[in-house]
Amino acid sequence: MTAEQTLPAKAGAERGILRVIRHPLLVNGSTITFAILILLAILAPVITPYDPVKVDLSQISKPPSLEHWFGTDVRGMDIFTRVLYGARIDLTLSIGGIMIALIIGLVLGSAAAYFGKIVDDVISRFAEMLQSIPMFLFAFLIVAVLGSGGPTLLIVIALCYWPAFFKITRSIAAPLMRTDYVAVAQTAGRSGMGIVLGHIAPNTVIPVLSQATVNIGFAIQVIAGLSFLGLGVPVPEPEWGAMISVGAPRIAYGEWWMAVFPGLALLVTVIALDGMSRRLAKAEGY
Amino acid sequence: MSTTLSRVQRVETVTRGATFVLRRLITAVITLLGVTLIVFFLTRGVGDPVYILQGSTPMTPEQLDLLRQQYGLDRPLWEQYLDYLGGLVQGDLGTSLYTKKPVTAELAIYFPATLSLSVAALILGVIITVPLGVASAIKPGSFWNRLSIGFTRFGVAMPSFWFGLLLVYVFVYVLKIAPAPTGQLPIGMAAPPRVTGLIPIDALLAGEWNVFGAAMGQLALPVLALALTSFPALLALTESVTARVLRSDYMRTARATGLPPSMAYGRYAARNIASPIVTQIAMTFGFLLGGTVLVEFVFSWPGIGQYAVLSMQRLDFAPVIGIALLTSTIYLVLYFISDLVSLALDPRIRHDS
Repeated sequence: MTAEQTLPAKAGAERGILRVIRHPLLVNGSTITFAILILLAILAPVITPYDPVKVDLSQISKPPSLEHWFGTDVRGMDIFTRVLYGARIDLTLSIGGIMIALIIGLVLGSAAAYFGKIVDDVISRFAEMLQSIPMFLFAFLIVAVLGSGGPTLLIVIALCYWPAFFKITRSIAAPLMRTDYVAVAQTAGRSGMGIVLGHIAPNTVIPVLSQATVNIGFAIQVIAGLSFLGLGVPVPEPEWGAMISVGAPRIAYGEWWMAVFPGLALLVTVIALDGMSRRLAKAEGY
Repeated sequence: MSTTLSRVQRVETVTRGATFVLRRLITAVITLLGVTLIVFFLTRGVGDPVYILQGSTPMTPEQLDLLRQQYGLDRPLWEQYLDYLGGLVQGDLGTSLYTKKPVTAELAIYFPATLSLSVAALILGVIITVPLGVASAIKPGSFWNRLSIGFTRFGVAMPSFWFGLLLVYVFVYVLKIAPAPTGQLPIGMAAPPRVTGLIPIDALLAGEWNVFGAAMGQLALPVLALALTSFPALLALTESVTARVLRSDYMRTARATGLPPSMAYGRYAARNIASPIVTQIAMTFGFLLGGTVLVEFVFSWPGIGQYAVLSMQRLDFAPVIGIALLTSTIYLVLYFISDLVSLALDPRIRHDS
């Protein structure tokens, strides 16, 4: 690691990415599970003959069977179909939201490390302020301003998670600012932006990626949680948390399948993402 | 000569400790002010307050202007913010549109339920995770070590609200050994005379044992749902800190020079382990107070989390804002107190900071 830090950043980071991608640890249960999930989400229309939002009054609240693998809900919608289509909504919103958070965090973290002093203080304090408001209540405030729905969830995830990426970028970038190659770049007359983009940002890619993977899992939990409370994706949409909210009042009557299967999908997805994040961190030696 | 020197050192140590406390206090106050600023501008984002004030009867533009003047909404934004801040200092969190009562009074009703749930979950969670983390760190590869890894993965991946629903299905519907999720007491049971607001404690104070038992029964499932999903961070921290301390040079020296285990582990190791754990426990407690929203909703628990959700569904935003401010204030106060405790436990902070 110390030897690498004195190398030009770009070459070092590119080798780092290649090394991680080729790493034997990366082909494991977590990555295979996640790949299958993505595949199932994409191929949903091919796999299942049902429509995820079509009411079928002849098939209300049926337990799992050969016809309906995961049973049907109170509107007669096929739960297996809805779980597959739900993966599309939950994965798109969580990955999209985390991507926005990641970009904000990378930019502000690099800026804080590069400029230091007041810039660093102001951004760091602001991140602390946001993090000291409990996440769900902060999410409520944003929903109160913007109204509920998919786009709001993207913003909620971006605003809740950028401080995490800011902190990790800053913690990696700040020591780099004191290394020789940044000093050389500065004396060579490279612009501030050039140094940040060319030398600091590439070094943060792998640890930030590991952080992003597990945060996608947390983001899915937040999206599902808000939808479960009726403040996220509205009910007839096939979103896992919204599906659990439909099944929740039925569970006390023994109709477990409506809430259990979407929750299981949620659990498996987060376990896979958490596992991938651990492997990434291990492969890079953090 | 030596006494003067040590006195100088002592004075320096005290001054450093005071500087540390003062700096943390200032940071906490600035953060809190920032939170109120963020919340203030968010409330302005919710909409022009006059439209909320006018209620269901539409008003003429002249009447709206009058209302604006009456409430000072025509003044510059920074003046309004100072007014808002002045109100906050006096405990004024606005009025609920739905109940027409002051939010502060409503919070006093709902907060004890959240407090008893969070405290119970904190106690159970700490009892499980701190010993497990220590046991796991003592012997890598042991049964406890594997249990700890399993607990962490479970806690990270398991959504608390879904886990709560599973508990209801298994313990209420299938096994029929837990009471239905009807809140703090079974339906029809009268609450004990209000002293602390915490139902189990009030029941004990009144000597009503059956009420106490029923209240604990109601607590069991939501507390389990929280305790098993909210503590992976505390477990991971306990484990890493313990491992680092036990394998440190000074512990090896202490044992090698013949310091009795009770002294080495009980005093030196425990002190070094305790300080970061106290901080993490305080943060977890702060997280629990604001993070019980989903579990309260599942178990119809009449706490601030459920109150926040109900207010959101009624488009009644003053209580939500009040709850956000209350929980972040508590979080910052807890964080500050944990800093003070660390300072008392770990002399290095006094010397180094």
